[in-house]
Amino acid sequence: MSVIGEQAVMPLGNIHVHSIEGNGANFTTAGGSLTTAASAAWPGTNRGHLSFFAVQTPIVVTQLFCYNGATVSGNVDMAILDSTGRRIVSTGSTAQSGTNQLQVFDITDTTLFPDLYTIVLSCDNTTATFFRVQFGNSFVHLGVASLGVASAFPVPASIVFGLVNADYMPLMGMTIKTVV
Amino acid sequence: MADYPTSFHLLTPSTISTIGQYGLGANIGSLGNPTSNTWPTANKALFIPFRVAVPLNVVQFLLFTGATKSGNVDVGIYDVSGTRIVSFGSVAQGNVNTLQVVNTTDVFIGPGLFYMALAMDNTTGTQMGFAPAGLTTDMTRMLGVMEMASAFPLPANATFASVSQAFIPLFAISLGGFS
Repeated sequence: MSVIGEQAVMPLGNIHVHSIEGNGANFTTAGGSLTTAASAAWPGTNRGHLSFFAVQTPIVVTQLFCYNGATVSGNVDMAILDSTGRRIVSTGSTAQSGTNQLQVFDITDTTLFPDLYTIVLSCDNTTATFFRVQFGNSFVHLGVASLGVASAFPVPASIVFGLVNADYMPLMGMTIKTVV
Repeated sequence: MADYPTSFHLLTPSTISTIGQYGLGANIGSLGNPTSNTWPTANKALFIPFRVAVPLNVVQFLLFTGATKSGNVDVGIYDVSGTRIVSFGSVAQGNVNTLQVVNTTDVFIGPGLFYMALAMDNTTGTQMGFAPAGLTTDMTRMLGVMEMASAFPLPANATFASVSQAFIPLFAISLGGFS
C-alpha cells in the first residue's frame, strides 16, 4: 500500500448522512448504523434537522431526497445551506408522498464548490414519519454534527443552528446523477 | 467559515472492492458477514459506485461464488455516463465458495467516479454479498447502487435505473494481480 498524496475525492453519486462526505463512519461508531434505521414520527412541528457535509470537488446537485416512513402527512421542505446557515437552494413546501420509500425532489441544478455545507429537512407536523437513526441520546448528535432548529418550515433564507430536541437523525441526502 | 479538512487522504490499495474505502466503505457501517445469495433477476446487472483519486491499472476482476454455481457471469467497469470501459464477457461461474479470478485486458482508470458491474444469466447460481436484516431497497438506492435489466452480457452502453432489491454483491477489481 503506498501513499500517493492528497487528492480531492468526488462523491459516489449520492451524498447522504451516512456517506463519507457527511458523517460516514461517525454514525457507525456512535451507534447510528444505516441498517438500524426505522420509521418514526417527526419530533416537532415545523422543526428542522440538519447534517453537515463536505464537498471536495465542484459538483452539481440535481435532486434532494428524504426517506419517508410508514405514515405520510402534511408537507416537507428540504434545502442546502452554507456553513453559516444561509440557504443556497430549497425544494419549497411539498406534500409528503410515498410511504416506506425515498421521496425525491427535483431542484434547480446547483453547483457546490469545495466547502462545508448543511442539508436540512423540515416538516410541518408530527404525524409524518421518516426513517431515522438514533444514538441513544440527543447529546451524541453534537458529536456527529447533527443539529436542529425549532422554526424551519418552510426553510428560511437563513438559519441559526441549534440543538436537536430528540434523538432523531433522518435519512436524507442529495444526488449529482439524474436517477437516484 | 468553519475549519474543515481540505481533502481526504485515500491510500492506494491492491484491490478495490464494492465495500472498500473506495467503494461503499464507511457509507455502510456494519453489514455483518457476507452470505450466499441468488442473483435477483436473470440477466440483470448491478452497478456499484467507486471512486479513485489517481490513475490506477486494473488487471483482474475478483468474484466470490456462493454455495451454488450455475450458468455464466459477466463483470466490467463503467463510467458515470454508462459507457463501458472494460468487461470480460460471458464466463462460466466459478467453483462454489471459491474466489474466481478473471483476467481482464489491462486498463487504466481514474481519477473519477466509476461503477463496478456484475451480471448473471440465471437465478440459480449464487454470489457472496450482503442482504442483512434492516437493509432496505431504498437504503441501497441511497448508497448509489444502480441496476439495468436485460444486461447480459454487459452492454457497451448501460442505462442506469433505480435499484429494486436490497442486495450488495461482493466483488472487486485487482490492481496487482492474483495467481
